[in-house]
Amino acid sequence: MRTVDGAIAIPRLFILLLIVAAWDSLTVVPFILVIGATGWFGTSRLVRAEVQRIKSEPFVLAARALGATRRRLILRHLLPNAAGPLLVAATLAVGNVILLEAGLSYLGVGGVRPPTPSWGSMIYEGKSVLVTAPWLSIFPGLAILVTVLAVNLIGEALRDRLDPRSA
Amino acid sequence: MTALLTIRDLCVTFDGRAGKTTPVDGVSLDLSAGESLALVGESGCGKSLTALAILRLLPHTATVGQGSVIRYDGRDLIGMKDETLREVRGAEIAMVFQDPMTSLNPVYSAGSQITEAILAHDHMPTSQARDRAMALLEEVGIADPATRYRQYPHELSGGMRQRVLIAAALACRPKVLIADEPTTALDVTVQAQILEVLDRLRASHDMAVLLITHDLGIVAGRTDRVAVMYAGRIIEHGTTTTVFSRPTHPYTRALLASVPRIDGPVQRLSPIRGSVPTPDAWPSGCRFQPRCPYVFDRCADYPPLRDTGDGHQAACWLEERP
Repeated sequence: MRTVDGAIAIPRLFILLLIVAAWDSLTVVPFILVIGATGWFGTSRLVRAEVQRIKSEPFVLAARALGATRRRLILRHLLPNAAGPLLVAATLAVGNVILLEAGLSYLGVGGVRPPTPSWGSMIYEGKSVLVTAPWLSIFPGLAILVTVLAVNLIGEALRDRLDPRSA
Repeated sequence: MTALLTIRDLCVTFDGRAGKTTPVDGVSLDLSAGESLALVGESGCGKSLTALAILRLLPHTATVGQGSVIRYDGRDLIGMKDETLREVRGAEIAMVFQDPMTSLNPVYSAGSQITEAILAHDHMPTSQARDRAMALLEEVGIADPATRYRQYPHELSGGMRQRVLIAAALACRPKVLIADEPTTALDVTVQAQILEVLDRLRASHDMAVLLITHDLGIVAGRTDRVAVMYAGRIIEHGTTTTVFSRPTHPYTRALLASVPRIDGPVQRLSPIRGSVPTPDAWPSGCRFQPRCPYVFDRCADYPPLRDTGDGHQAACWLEERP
């Protein structure tokens, strides 16, 4: 956890810039992996806190008293109960990652290069004609907004559906 | 009769910031097959810790004393390997906890938690385990088990949940059931039902029951033997009839006097003055002396648990008083 704390302290954009700069021609798949590899620190803290809380719930003790294995405790008792916050974090992360890619593309260091389009690079390309043709940047921006919103709403609905107490 | 479960000189120590405390200090108990024993005492006297220590479910900050012995069926539970102990938990010795509201996992249906308990020890197809879970639900007195099986814990009443927990505890036909305040969180009417279910199952499964409670009222006429605990030690022990008819230790007498009776003349209840001191504040010598009305100079030494002649033991000097 201390390592994670340290990793959180470094701005993600900075790490990404470093990696992307060091890597000459980053293609799409490694780019995605790099974004993923730098994005789990906050979530891991969240899950840890959640698991710590659930661990002290009486039903975990009850399951142990009836001979549940460690594996079973983790997979059947701890994780499903931590699913709510995890799901929220995951859907928020989708929005963040889209924006992050847009930001990196805007800075011109994204892993997605022409001719492959990306919303971020589209906004960037519209920059020079922002006054005469603002829609070149506005529509990719709206598309990002709608996607992020949609994913967040799906996440929320999933969480409500998965929790038997609110069914 | 040889004991199925033997506890000798059990000590549980916490090494806290304020120094070492020993909330369970030299407890010895025997439980034979099919027998029921009540462990009675006020909150904070160490009875739940004793129960947790049997299955090694104590919090990480607790340590069990060097000389302590817990044997089940001739096997040492304290030194046992984790995996072997896991096989004992639930299959040989099962446990039911105090709070049925939080002892079931909220994200699974009630029935599937019984099925899970079965599959933790017995290998069989899931459908077969489900049938057995259904039969268990019926056995603990749940009407319409097929519907209840599918319901989630929050859809069931407290009494219903405790029945489900008992069914899960019985899933693998354990030889010993430890019930830690199984009725404390329930309504009085439901309490009686749950105790009756436990009694019935004890008889039909030939299962030993260790009933932990602070309520002497539910012990009377229900268990074979009673052990009264005070401040980490057993201070009186005997058959339920002798302890209730001839209580020897002043604490037991005081406990009995503080329970309302429906037979006999109406009397004022006499509460026990004060409360159980916390383990760091236990006096040397007899630990009940600050609250005891009969205290005299001998009480500065700790009285051992001794036979009082009529088939029960008490830890008090009063008997010897000239």
